[in-house]
Amino acid sequence: MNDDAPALEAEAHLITRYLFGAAAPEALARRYVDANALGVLTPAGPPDEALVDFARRRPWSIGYLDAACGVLRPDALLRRKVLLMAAILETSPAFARRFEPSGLGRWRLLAVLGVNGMAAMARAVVGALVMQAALRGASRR
Amino acid sequence: MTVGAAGSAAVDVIVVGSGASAVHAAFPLIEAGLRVRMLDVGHRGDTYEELVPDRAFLDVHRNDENQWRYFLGERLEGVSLGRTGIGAQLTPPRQHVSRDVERLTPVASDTFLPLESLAVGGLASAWGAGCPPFDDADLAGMPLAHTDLEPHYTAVAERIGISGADDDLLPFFGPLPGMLPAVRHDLNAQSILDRYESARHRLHRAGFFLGQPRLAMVSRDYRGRRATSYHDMDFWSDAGRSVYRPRWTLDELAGFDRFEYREGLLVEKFAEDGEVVHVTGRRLHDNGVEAHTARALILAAGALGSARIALRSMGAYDRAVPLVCNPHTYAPMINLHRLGASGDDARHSQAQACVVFRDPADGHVTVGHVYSYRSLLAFKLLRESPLAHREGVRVVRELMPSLAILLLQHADTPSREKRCVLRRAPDGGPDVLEIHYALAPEERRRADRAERHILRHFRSLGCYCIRRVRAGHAASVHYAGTLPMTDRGTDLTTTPDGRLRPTRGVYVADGSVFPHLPSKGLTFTMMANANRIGTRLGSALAGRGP
Repeated sequence: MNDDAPALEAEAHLITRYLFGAAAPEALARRYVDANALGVLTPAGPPDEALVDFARRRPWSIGYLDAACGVLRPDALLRRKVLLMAAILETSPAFARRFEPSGLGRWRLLAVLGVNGMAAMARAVVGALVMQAALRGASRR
Repeated sequence: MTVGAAGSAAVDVIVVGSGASAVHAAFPLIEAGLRVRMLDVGHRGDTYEELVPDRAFLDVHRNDENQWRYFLGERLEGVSLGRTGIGAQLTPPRQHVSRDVERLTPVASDTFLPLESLAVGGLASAWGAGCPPFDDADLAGMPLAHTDLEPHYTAVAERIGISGADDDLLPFFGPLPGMLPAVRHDLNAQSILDRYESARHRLHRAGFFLGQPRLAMVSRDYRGRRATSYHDMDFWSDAGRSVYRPRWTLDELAGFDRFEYREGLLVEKFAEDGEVVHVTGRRLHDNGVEAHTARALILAAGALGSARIALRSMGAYDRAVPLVCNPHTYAPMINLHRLGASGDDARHSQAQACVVFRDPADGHVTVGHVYSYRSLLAFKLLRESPLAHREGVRVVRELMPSLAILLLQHADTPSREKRCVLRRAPDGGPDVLEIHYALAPEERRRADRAERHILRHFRSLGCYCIRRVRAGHAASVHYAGTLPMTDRGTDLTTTPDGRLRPTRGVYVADGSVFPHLPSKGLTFTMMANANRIGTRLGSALAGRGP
């Protein structure tokens, strides 16, 4: 797994785009690179690396893999990387409000919960298949 | 290696530690006119202190470009991404509380991962500030009655400032002279208390009581401290000093010429020699041995720290002493009546409400505190969610205003399955405290039964538990009973005055002396008892002369 600065910076943008639909500001992407350099994100084994590699090469897959890992591999490196970027985004004024409640009212909240719950489930089902493909591909290599 | 402490004349009393019990044991000694030296490692948390703004959380969160430095930590110590070690529950500005403990005071255990502290102010530098006093039922089996502690509760309360209300919890907490008005609770707690109000007679019959917590957090300006400003930054900062920390009392003590604070020293052992006690410790900066002499010694290094010193000093390696610790469960609940709320009200970060459950079947009491969730940040909840993060962010942030975290503590009594033993390290390193701790099936059943009852009553108030988390045996951070107080006892027990048997002039003033723990938090009673021990020792020594 390539962990040089440009690869990690691209990863920061990939995760931010996945979470909020836009690339990360440069300062936050650099913060993500620096955070990785602290050595807090070490792969637990080859499958961990394979999933991150797969997501990097196929950006469309990150949401599916993240969802599947949430159910099947909660401690996966990919989950930890997304969580780290989420922490960096939450502690920046540019993104802070996206982590704060918007006071939707009860009925709109229930709708949001329903839609997002179903979306997460659907992603997890597709993600389980994508994960299998990613791990199978890695073992062949 | 050097021996001796340059310029260290003998004093009347040496106090080991600077935490909640140490400072309140020292205070009456100083008031009695005695010379007191406090020996402490005394780590400080200066890294982030200057960075955290004295502003409300929402303002900081939305505007401060530097927030990542103290919210996440410059070494990401506030982001739990892998192995969870000792002190992982502490926020970055509080992590100095557990600094060096794994290296200097190692513990070996498969079942018990204690949080100890070598910081100035000890563990109370990061405590929840809950101050429920013990009543006679809580003290049953100890050579101590509530009347023995009552004047000391008052003295400590006057020193630390306790806010609260004489509400439905009064029968459990009793009156407290000089209590400050209760701090305001947030809208989440208010909605629970409103519904409790309309169902209170039914709930009382079922043994369920809800009210304001007693908190060592000042609701008006007090002894140089500022009334809480409801900034919701209490997990990150001590700006204004509204939440009590032992450091505030240490600052008051430092104003006396008779008081001396020596930091950078890890006390290892004591030895008695006629009318004096010699205390030796290791200096952290050069590993040299330093010796101090006094007429009496008070150990207040925490239940595990004081046990280490006592066992080592008395050559009691490989000998088991008891250990108790409140079993601890937390239960995140969704308060249905707050679903969809905005959650931008002004609030403090400590417990918003307190629950007492007295089981009608056996009279057993369980105490819990209800917290709201905001300033500890949403990403920490994401880690607990199985959802994809994209959807997880949307769900978690909207649910936060309705989240009520219930922290429950159960009583604990000693047994053969709860013990610690000091072992010599084979390689000449620091001695290792080996801990074995297991709850009996009956204790688990009783705790489970109480939890189910309490959660059922919360359901009737519209609060639905998402899951129950038993956070590990040591998670309550209330350790006690290692040198228990008994009327008549053997070596390594303490007298009702806190004197360690069989010594002449060594006293123990921390949680070590409490042979069992009721479900109420120990800290306030520990401080009151330390004040009692200091007061009695002060009278005895002041009467005897140098």
